[in-house]
Amino acid sequence: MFSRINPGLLINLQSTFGRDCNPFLGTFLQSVRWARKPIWAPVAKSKLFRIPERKKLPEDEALELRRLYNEYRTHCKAVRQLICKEYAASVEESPSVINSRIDDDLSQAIKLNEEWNKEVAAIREERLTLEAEIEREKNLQYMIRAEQENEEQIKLLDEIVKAEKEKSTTFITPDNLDEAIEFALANPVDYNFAIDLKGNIVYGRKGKFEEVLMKQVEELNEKQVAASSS
Amino acid sequence: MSFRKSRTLPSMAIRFVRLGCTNRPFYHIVVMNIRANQHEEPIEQVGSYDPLPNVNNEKLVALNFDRIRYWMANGARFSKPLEELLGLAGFLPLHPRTVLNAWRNRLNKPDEEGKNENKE
Repeated sequence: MFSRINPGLLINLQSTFGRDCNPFLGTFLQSVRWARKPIWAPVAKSKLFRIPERKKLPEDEALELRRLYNEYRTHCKAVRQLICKEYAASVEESPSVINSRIDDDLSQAIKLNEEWNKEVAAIREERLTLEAEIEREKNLQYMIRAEQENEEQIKLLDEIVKAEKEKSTTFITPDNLDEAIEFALANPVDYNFAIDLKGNIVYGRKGKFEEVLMKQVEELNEKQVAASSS
Repeated sequence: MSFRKSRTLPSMAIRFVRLGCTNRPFYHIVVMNIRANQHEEPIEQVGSYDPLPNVNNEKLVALNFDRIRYWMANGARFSKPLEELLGLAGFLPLHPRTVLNAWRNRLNKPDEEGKNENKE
C-alpha cells in the first residue's frame, strides 16, 4: 500500500472548484488499496495513527546473517568475474586479425564475382549475337514483303486506270451532249414489265402489248411450221 | 571489443515466469528485459522448474548452464528466488536465505517426524 492521489478525486475537484483549487496540497493525499474495500475509502479511524511494529531478529542471528550475506555477495562477484573472464577469453580476437579476415573474405568475394561476371558475359555475348541475327532476318523478311505488297498495289491501280480509260470512250462530254440527248429521246427505255400466268414477260408500260403478242404468235407459228416440216 | 561490454546492453534478468494454472504453479526460467512483464515474449528460455514434488518427492529443475553462463557474461542479473535455486544447484554459492530457512526448519522440526523434508 502506498500513498498517491486518487485521479478520480482530483478530476472532480478541478471540475467543481476550477483551477484555483490546488489538489496537490497535503489534505487531498490518501492511500489507495486494491482489494476488499473500495479504493477510495480512507484509512479506518482506528488504524489512522497505527505504526506497525518492525520485526527484530535476535542479535546473534542478525550478525550471522549479515556475515553470510557479505560472504555470499563476495563469492557471487567472484563467480561472475570468473565467468565473464572465461567468456571474454573464448570470444576475444584482436582487431587486426578480424580486419585481415574481412579483407580476405572481401578479396575472395571479388575474385568469385569477377569469375561469375566473365561467365555471364560470355553467355550474354552469345545470346546477343543470336538475337541480332534473328532481328536482321526478320527485318529482311519484312522489307521483302513490303516490296511485294507495293508491287501488287501498283498493279491493281494500273488495272483500275486501264479500265477507266476504256470506259472513258463512252462518257458523255460537252462535245457529244446533244447527240446523247437526241439518242436518249429517240430510244426511250422502260424497265417496267408485266408477266402472265404462263410466264410470258411483257416489257414496257404503255400499250405495246399487242405488238408483243403478235411477235409471240409469229414465233409460235414459226415453231409449228418448223415442227411440221421436220 | 567494446560493444560486448555488459553496460551497453539492455539490462536483462534471468528469472521465473509463472506458467501452469491456479493451484498448479510451473515455472520457466527465462532471460528477459528487466522491465518487461513476465508474460511477454522472453529473449530466451534457459530452463524450467516444477515446484510441486512428484511421486518420488522430487522437485524437478532443468537448467541450461551454457546459456546461463553466456547471459551472465553479457550482464544478465538473477532474481532472488533463482539465486536460491542456483545456490542449491551448486552453480552459485549457497544463498543466505536457504541457510536461514534450514535453521528455522531445524528448530521447528517435530521429533522424528521431519523425515519427509523436501530434497532438491
